[in-house]
Amino acid sequence: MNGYWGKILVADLTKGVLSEEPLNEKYARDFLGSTGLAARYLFDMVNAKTDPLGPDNPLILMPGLFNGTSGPSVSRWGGATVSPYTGHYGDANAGAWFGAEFKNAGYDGIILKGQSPKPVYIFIRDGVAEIKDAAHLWGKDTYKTQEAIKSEYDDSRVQVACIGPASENLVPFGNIMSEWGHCLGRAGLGCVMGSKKVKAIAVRGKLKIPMQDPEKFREAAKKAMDEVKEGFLSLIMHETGTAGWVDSAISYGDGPTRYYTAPTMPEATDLSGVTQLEKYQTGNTACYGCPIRCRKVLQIKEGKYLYDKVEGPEYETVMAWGPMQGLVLDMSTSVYFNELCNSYGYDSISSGASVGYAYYLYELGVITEKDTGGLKLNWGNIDAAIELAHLIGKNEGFGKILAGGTRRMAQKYGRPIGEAVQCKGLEFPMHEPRAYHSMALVYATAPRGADHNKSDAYQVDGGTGHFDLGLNAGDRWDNDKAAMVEKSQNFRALTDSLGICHFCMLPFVSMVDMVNAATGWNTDVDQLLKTGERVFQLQRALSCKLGISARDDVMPELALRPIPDGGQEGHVPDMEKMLPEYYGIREWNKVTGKPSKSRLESLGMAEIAASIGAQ
Amino acid sequence: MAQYATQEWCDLYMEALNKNTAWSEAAKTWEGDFYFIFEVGGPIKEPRYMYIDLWHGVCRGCEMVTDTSEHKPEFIISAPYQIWKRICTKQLDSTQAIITKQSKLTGNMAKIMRYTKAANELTNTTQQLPTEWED
Repeated sequence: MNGYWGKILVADLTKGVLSEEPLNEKYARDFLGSTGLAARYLFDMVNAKTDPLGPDNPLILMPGLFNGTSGPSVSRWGGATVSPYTGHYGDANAGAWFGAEFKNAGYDGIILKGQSPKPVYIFIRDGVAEIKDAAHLWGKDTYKTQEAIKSEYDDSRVQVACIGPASENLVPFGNIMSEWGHCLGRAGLGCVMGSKKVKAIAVRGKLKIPMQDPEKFREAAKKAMDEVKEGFLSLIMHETGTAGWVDSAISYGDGPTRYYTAPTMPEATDLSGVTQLEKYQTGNTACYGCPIRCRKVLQIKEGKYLYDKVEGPEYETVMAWGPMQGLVLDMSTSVYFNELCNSYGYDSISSGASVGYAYYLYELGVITEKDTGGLKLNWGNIDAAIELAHLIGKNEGFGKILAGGTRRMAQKYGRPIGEAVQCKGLEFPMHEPRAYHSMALVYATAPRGADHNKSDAYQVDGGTGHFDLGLNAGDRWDNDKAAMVEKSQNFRALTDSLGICHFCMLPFVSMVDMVNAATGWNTDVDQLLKTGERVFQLQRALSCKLGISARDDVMPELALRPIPDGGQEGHVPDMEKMLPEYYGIREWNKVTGKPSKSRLESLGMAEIAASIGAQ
Repeated sequence: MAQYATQEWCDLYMEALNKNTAWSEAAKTWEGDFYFIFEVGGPIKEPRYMYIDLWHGVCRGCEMVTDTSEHKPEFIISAPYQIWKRICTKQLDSTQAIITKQSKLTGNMAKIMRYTKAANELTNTTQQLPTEWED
């Protein structure tokens, strides 16, 4: 089967045995790779009774179809599991270099089963895999772990996906980290890896994936690469990185401030991508195969925390650990927060939101210093936030409460659940639905919970949609967003499965050409878009199988209170209009939330429909 | 009503812009001037050049020029007349126009990125101005 190796590595960690199984070719054809293919495998292996931290919950990691090829920005790889953080479907994808090395190491994925009695790591090189002792690595942070494994093989091209102390300590939103600070984040995949006592997976691959027509692939990839190189979004992202969004967020009220109660704080401009570029940047670096090179290398020579060479914080972390708690930060401290999250190895979005909610509760008088271990959580208290960042990583004291997330915090302190700004247990990313109404629909309906990566509708309405597909900018406060959100979710399910970065605006026809040249499938635009829809509906069906229903597709009340001042200008999304329209387009049942039998069957998923009892 | 890309229109636009408090607030720290170039095509037989000088939330000047050496602006945006019309009537997002190569920007993009709201307010002002189009 061209485009694939035709085999999956299976690690039975309880027995300490590795084996291979043939790739399910129908699954590959229907779900491509990365989070799409991983979700399909996961569907067969779990149910609503699966304990996320038990031996029966698999952790499935897979490269995107294009990983390791000459396509542009094709670095994204992913994984899926039952999330220990939300209790239902969890997935994640990441960039950097692990995915390419993973693919070229000779497998289409790895399934981790069972639980090891002792710390181990798995090393894969050119089609040969082994389980190795990791006692000497256990306890190390994610940076030192990566350095140690690379030095063991004396090969800087060995790529390591590892967990840090947070996931060893079973912080529910623990990440899997690779290439220093690049994470499979949000849904606690790292925590599951920690429960299996797997410290890392290291890969080195020099194999070349078999292709149907290598020459045609090179031609299509080069054409796409040339387009991406010259693209305006590419140039913007190169200059400002994701943190370039900070200034726009200030203007449009897109950045949550003081836990969703205040206009986006203007002081955040001191942390923006433009400020990074003007004052701190010494260079750019890139993920595998990416001509954009949006990652910033900074030198911090002033402030409390000095760095000779450090990767700049991304937009999400800048906002989640800063404005969220009302902190006015300098670049030095913002970088430090980023480094804390990365080295402990936990999700900067959910952790920042939990800390923000704690500040909110403290200011209300709901919690006091008795709850916080003596910390005064007044808006703007930087030292307290730093202490909490450590406590979360250690899963100790008040940090253990925060590591449970805002939904559990609301329950613990007897607060209305709508005060916890999350959907399905996963906190909002740093794009405000009151600034872009489409994001309310995105968050309410994304399979793993509030998730800006399942649709970048904020980018579409911000002027950087995908024009090939008719994803054009509209009024950000309009409530006719159901069709756009559905289409963009399908599109992102597709690009995630292929392994393409969201900032890579390659022509859709090039995508089709690359798929056909790699696999020999003779697919077309419509079929590929249908594949995107199939992946999204599968992930929804899996969510439903794991206990999600229509009542979970709700926006939290706090995020629907108008903020008249600032860039939101008092607007709130109209969910009573948008959600039923969206349900209609998706053909989801109004009570169970399940996709209809006929829709699933039309996507070739009769067995999925039967499994969830779709009507 | 004034015809687009004429001095009369420029005068009205400058007046409208200076009354737009949303723009002046969003652009209160902006320092920079532009050439908007109307490329040959459609009703445009010769290239036309509009110069606009924006400073701290005030439009200090807006004029049609024939000799481009009169100014050395920090930014140049160039597009066919029909594209300008679609942008001004909000049928096309100005960022989308650049991304899709329907218009071309010369200048420091990072600086522009700080002021996306101000840029959109420039377009909002245009949309609200009664305008006569040449096609």
